[in-house]
Amino acid sequence: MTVSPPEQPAIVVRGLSHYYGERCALRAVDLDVRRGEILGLLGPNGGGKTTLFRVLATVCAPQQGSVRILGDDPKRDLAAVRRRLGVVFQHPGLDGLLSVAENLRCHGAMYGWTGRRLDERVVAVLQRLRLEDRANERVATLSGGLARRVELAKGLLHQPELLLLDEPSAGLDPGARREFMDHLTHLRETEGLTVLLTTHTMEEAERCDRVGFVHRGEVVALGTPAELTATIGGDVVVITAHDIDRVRAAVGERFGYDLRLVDGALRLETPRGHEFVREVVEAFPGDIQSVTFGRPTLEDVFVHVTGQRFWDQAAE
Amino acid sequence: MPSSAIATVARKELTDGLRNRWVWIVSMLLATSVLVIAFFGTATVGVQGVRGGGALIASLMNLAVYLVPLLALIMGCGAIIDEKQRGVLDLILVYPISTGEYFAGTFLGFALALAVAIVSGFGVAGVVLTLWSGVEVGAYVLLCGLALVLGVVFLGLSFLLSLLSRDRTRAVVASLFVWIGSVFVFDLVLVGVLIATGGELPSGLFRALLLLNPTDVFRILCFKWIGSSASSLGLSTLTEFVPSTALLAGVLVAWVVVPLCLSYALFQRRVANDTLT
Repeated sequence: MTVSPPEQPAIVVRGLSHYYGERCALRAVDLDVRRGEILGLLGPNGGGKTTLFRVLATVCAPQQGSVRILGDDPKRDLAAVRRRLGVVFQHPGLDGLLSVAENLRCHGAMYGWTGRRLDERVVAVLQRLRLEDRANERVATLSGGLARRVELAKGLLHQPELLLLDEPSAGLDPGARREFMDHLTHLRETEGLTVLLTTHTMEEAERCDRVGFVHRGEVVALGTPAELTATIGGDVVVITAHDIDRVRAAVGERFGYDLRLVDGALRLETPRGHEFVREVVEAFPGDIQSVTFGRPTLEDVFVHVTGQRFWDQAAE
Repeated sequence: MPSSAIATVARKELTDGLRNRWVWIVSMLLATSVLVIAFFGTATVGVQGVRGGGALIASLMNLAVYLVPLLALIMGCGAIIDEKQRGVLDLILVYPISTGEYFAGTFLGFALALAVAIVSGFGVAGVVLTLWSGVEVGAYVLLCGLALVLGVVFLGLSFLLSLLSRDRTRAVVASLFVWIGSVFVFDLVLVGVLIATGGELPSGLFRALLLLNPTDVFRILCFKWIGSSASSLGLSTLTEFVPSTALLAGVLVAWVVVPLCLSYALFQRRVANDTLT
């Protein structure tokens, strides 16, 4: 096991490619995850983020390129890397026939924790995640939100330096989702934990320190939510119309803008969106169905970078 | 290979098994069947009450031939496939334990749960029979032990079926085919071959064919060790040849080891190729 200096990134990925048969799932990905940050990988299903997650979680070996996790090469010392990783998968990884405490004890034993040390750690984690009153309940009887919290407790039990979460809020209602992110933020602040999570919810991504867009096997954008939204110059205006091509041509001719047609709507990024909205409505009152404008969101950044709407991709 | 990881996985699987009500239902079914055979098995020939001796042991041996492989196959065919379908295998594979430790622990845990089901089923009935009629305890215990070995053989086969199947439904169907094949079809085919050849099948070939079926090996061992009524022991008594204990034990061990080795090789290959999860 290599003890890496604190300034060294927790994860360093260089030129990582992965194939399923002929299909390229990851295409020469480069990525650094800094220590103590929460990095969100945002992208539609099939974009490659789950494959990237599985390589980082050491479920599958890198086919091309290199991966260093906490300073170690998983190809050289897999067990050492795994001992320092906490992984929570999208699918429930709990044994429904066992109680919450039994699940945690079993998990701890897999990492070589035994006896009093394990018992004390189980109690500590249950308290931290406010699960102590559920310790003896069978997991099968818990709600989705509570079960997810137990998953997080499992992931943290062996005191990992790096926590990997695959779609952690899948199946949770908005309240439970916010609570889950609150737990993560608290852990990062109190224990300096490094967290990498995959998500396709904008709300979750906006609470990360940095966000990377994964699209068609590549990390197409990476930065803080503020940095990413700042790449769009001003406001985002979206126009819908019955005859979208005619309106596109007319607006272009009148105002000199080249509007992008994305999923049946015209999009324009402009510093003075409110003025453009007024002018365009006055110019084409009978042709326009709706006009919206607002400050750019991460979804707008995704459209800006990929030319495609996020949710259409996510639904594929 | 540290034994603690194997023990941890085995303990988890055993706990799961003991909390699975189907294990206890089958165990009770086994106990009830033993008692029903003991108390009413001779009613058709006008004898009431408990039968003792070799006839009872032979009947119980036939019961074991039907129920124990079925129990083992149904228990074990979900061993890997259930974890795979629930998506739990991913998590197991990122633990700092080897695939060998996980595989060995899982098999050990399932085998222990199977042992609890078989021993408790036969055990409860055995206590009742001993108190009631004075059953041959030594023969009865030996039968339980051999039934357990038979169960472990089919548990190994069920692991192989689990890894060869795409989902649990297919694994269950494949298990039923294996059960029917081993318990019913194999002997019928052998009888058919004997009839077709006018009994001219070389005796060496016939003996070798008998050893290919673990239930027949189990019957021969019962015949050899317990000495039950030969009339109840099926095809295994058609030959005067009784293989040595070492050969029979070796064949049974091979029936455990070979499917398990194949299962493990398949498991490792699918983990390495990332086609399991």
